[in-house]
Amino acid sequence: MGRYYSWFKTPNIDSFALLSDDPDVAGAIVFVHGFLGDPHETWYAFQDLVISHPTAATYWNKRDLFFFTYKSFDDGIETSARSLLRFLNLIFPSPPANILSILDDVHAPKSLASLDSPARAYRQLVLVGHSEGGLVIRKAVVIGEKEANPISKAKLVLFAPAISGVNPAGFYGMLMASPANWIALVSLGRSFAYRDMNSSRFLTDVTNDTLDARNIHPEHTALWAKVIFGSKEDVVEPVKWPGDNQVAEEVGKNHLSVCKPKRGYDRPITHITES
Amino acid sequence: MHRLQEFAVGTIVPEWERVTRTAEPVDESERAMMALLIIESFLWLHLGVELGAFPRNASEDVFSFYYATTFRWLKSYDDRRPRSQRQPPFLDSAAYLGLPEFARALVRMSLDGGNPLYERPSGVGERPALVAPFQSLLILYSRLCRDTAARRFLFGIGFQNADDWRTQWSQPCTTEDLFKTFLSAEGSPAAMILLGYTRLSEYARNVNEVLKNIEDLGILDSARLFQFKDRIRNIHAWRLNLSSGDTAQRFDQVREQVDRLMDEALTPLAPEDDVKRVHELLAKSLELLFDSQPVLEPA
Repeated sequence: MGRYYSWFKTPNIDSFALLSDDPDVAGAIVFVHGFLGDPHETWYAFQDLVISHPTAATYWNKRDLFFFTYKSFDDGIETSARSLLRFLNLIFPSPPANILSILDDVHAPKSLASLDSPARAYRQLVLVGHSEGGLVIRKAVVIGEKEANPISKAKLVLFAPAISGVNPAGFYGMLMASPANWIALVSLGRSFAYRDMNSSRFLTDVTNDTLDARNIHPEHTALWAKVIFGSKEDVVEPVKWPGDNQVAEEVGKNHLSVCKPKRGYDRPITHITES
Repeated sequence: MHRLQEFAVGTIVPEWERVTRTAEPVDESERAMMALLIIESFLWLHLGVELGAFPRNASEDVFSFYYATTFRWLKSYDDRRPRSQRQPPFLDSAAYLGLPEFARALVRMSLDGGNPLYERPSGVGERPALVAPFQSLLILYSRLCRDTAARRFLFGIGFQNADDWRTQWSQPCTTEDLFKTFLSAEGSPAAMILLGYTRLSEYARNVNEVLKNIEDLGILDSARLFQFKDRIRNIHAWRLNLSSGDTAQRFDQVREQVDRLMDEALTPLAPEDDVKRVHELLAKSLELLFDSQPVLEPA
């Protein structure tokens, strides 16, 4: 089975999809990166490894993968959450035609049209978040409780989510581990996302909204999450919310490595297949 | 969309349109860069066909539809240029001659009207297990092609005429200017060049990581792995051709300026060792991908 990539058009210009060519594709998995992360850097190991994983035939070939991107520095968490909700409405239950096939207005040889991917209708949705992406997802879930959106029936897998605050020293260290992100370090105070991740009021509101919604709609799977931290987490507070799936910490993994599968560490993959 | 469709629509078409729809680009230097960008995308297509990532028949159509036209443009552009002009014709230029031998051979075949898709392969051959990592590299590459700062950096250090470079580079750029450019991807030429340097470094780091992953997964034996890495490096090598004196000098100027801004910004915030590590990270990523390696041609 193959998997093809497609970039989204404006306004989701840096988001992309990896589409399965299995005729029975039935689900969508949406990956949401963290602060100043990007879809490729955070999740590329999934792209290379799911194809050869033992669960490829039974799980991964039946799903399309979407790598959502957003203004993770400038925008506050609510703005990003609303942007995620719009993206979910765009792709679920059926993704737009322009990521499946070449449209007529594009100058292309006719034979390329024979490679078009068939339309699909998803029945399942999984949201996978890392760091700030985890908080964006949780905020989107509580907004989705008030507005019709496919998110409420989704399953959530969150790696090192920033749902309980951040550790400034570790945060600085993380930004300094990137060739370009150090530029933002001196202006961290101007980031609305960083403001929200550090605001106990904001975090308490999202937590309480989630817990309240569970009482009203216990059937909404998105209100519960599988939350995974590494034992060497030092960027965010590794505190889970009550009622979440209490997964054991991943020994030896830090904020960045906890969500990156590699040879000998396929837990990020199985956390999703077992969600 | 199939990966060949996306590659055609997202990566080849924008360059192809620049060439075929721009009546007469003002800047000859930019034209040389456009030619090399087209050749570079052709080399990705060529490698993708060899690995089996791109279907052969459709790739032949892609070659005829886009590249045959652009190579004709390149040929006529070269034929038309009087030898007396200050800059040499493209095929005699240092930029073109800086391409590895296999790439120049493929360009020559194309200019002569041939179909070079199956000639001068890397030697890796059809490898189904390599298709996913190759696609990861393609995703990175397609994003690099869209990155306006990386493009501005490329033009500045490799193609811009000396007077324009001096004028634009002498404009001051503060950490604040760089930060604003980082957020908006728009800024003064100097800020865009500095940002482009960090973006290219980030790209190099990501490519190195994918190559390392291929190695760790044991997809290829050591000889094929070498051939693959060598081909990937050779496809990129023209972007940072430090054997050209002007490029090397400008590259050093950019690197020194980034180092200075980095020290200014980070020293008050972080321990000296951490700051040193960021400097090393930036430099090492580029060194790993762009260090000149001996070209291993298949037997």
